[in-house]
Amino acid sequence: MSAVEKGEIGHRFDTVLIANRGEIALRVQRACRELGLRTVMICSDADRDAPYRTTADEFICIGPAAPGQSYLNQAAVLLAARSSGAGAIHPGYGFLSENAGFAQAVEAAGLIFVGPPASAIRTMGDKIAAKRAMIEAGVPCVPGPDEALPDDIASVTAIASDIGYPVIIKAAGGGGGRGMRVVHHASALQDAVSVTREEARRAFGTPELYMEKFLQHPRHVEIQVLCDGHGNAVWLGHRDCSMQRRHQKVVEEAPAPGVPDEIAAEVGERCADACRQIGYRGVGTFEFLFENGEFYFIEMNTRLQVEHPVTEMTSGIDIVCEQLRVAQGLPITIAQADVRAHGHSFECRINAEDPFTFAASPGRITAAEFPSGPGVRVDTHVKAGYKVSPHYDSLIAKLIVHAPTRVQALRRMRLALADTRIEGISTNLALHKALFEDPAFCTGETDIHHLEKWLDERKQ
Amino acid sequence: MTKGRKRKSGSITEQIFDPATLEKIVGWLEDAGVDSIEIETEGGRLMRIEAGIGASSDGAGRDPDASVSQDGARPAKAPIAGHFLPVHPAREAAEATIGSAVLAEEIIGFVGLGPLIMPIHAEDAGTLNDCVAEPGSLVGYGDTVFLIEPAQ
Repeated sequence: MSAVEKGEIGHRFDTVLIANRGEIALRVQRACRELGLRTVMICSDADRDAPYRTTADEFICIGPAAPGQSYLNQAAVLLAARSSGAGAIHPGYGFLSENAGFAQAVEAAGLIFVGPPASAIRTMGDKIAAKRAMIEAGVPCVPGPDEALPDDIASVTAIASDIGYPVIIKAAGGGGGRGMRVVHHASALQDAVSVTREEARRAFGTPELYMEKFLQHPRHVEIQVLCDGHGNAVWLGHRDCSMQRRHQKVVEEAPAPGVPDEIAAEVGERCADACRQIGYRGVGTFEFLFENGEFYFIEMNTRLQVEHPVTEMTSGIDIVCEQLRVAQGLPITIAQADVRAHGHSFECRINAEDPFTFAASPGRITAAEFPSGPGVRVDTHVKAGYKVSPHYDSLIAKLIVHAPTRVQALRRMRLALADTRIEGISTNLALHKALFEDPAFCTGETDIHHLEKWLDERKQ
Repeated sequence: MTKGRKRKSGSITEQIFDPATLEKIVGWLEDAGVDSIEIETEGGRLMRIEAGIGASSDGAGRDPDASVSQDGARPAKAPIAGHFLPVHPAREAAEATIGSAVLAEEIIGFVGLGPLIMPIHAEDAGTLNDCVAEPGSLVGYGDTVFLIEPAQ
């Protein structure tokens, strides 16, 4: 009997429009089907043959391949939802998932946005407001004022001196590694501020900047939260996403190695408290830099993350199903005391790109074989014959493994990578295989700069 | 095999055919008490937008990659996602009936999207062979709605 039939789900909506594509569209569809919810999948002209069309209750093309005319076209998405009788819209990640205006428009249309309230998205999208909210909630932040930099360069210089060089200047409206500049000496400060301010004005529509201490060898550690509309919030564990290239995550793991349980628990509790204080609802991720045993908040992602499966594997909680239950207005049924991290999980993002030049490799997949077996999960929408479009993100699959220990999980991932075969296009499988043999990565003794340094060394 | 003219990605024509833009334009017309406007696109093509009725054009908005079915029939496709309307709401009769001859560029049906009504054009002259969408059903952007047997 499905959750709908049991009366647990379906009070507020019985049909979900999935406003996304690729593996995450399929992931959300699977969760909806498991809960007995109908699904309406939208697509662009380039995704007409997406494999998940056959398992959708309704599948509708809303526009041409260009994202601005399809997946980012708010009016088209809303009209598709209204026309198909959907009661809720799940935005997945990327595209419209962190667009406060869209969340507001969905609610204004009388539909449910499967995500936090627009106000929470707006607060967390403004990095200065987010930092202020975190400081008020007792979440540890990177040293630096929780207000915008003044225009007067003498005052900016004084702030930098107080913090101590190196400092990082960031756009208040930025994120994902965009709109930031590191300054090592006072002599370079004025130019850095003026250039970053102009970039911020152009890219994010606001010239507001803020300044923080630049941590030199941090790891990227994040905490997953789940909150309902009844004031309940739990944190589901932590993940390490330090293996990044140009701020794009390549490998993720849970739990983050070398983070003492008591420190993680204290920060996790503060994150949950912060969610209660700002009236957060749904799933979210607090991203931190972790250095010398200390957490420093950098930003909150107000959506489902690409790497959510590693937390699902260690916690045993289906995060997408919980997200849909919360959107139904139901209270979360998980008590903090019941949340446990079991074993260790890795996720490799398989991208359609050259493994070492990272040039995108769109085209038709002529053969695709994925691993299976105990503790192996593959989230993908591709199979042989699938055409990888040049219009979108190059992610074609996520290989996820779970094992009792980190060492066993490393071994399981090596086998999973060896058993994966994708032909017809280039993929970054070779990069993953090499990385899983790297001694520093295997011992967990890396920071966010490790992958780029490692790649540079391989070139020489 | 298509005679349809290619449209540049992100062209003014495409922007105008964006549902949000069309909705705004119709709203402006209604607010200003204007019945209709004509817009000449970058290719010198004329498009007419009427408040309360929708938009029609001299061919823009059609899929440039229209294919030919196995029996040689050519599809006429939905220019936007919405509900298929064989008859314009302001009129009593259908623009074209199955078996009738149609001219190239002729309007043969509509797609309704909220307040907007967009025409479906015949790509080429021929005979309207079949209508593959149910009246009132949801059709997607680029979905085949009619099949036309091309004139010899």
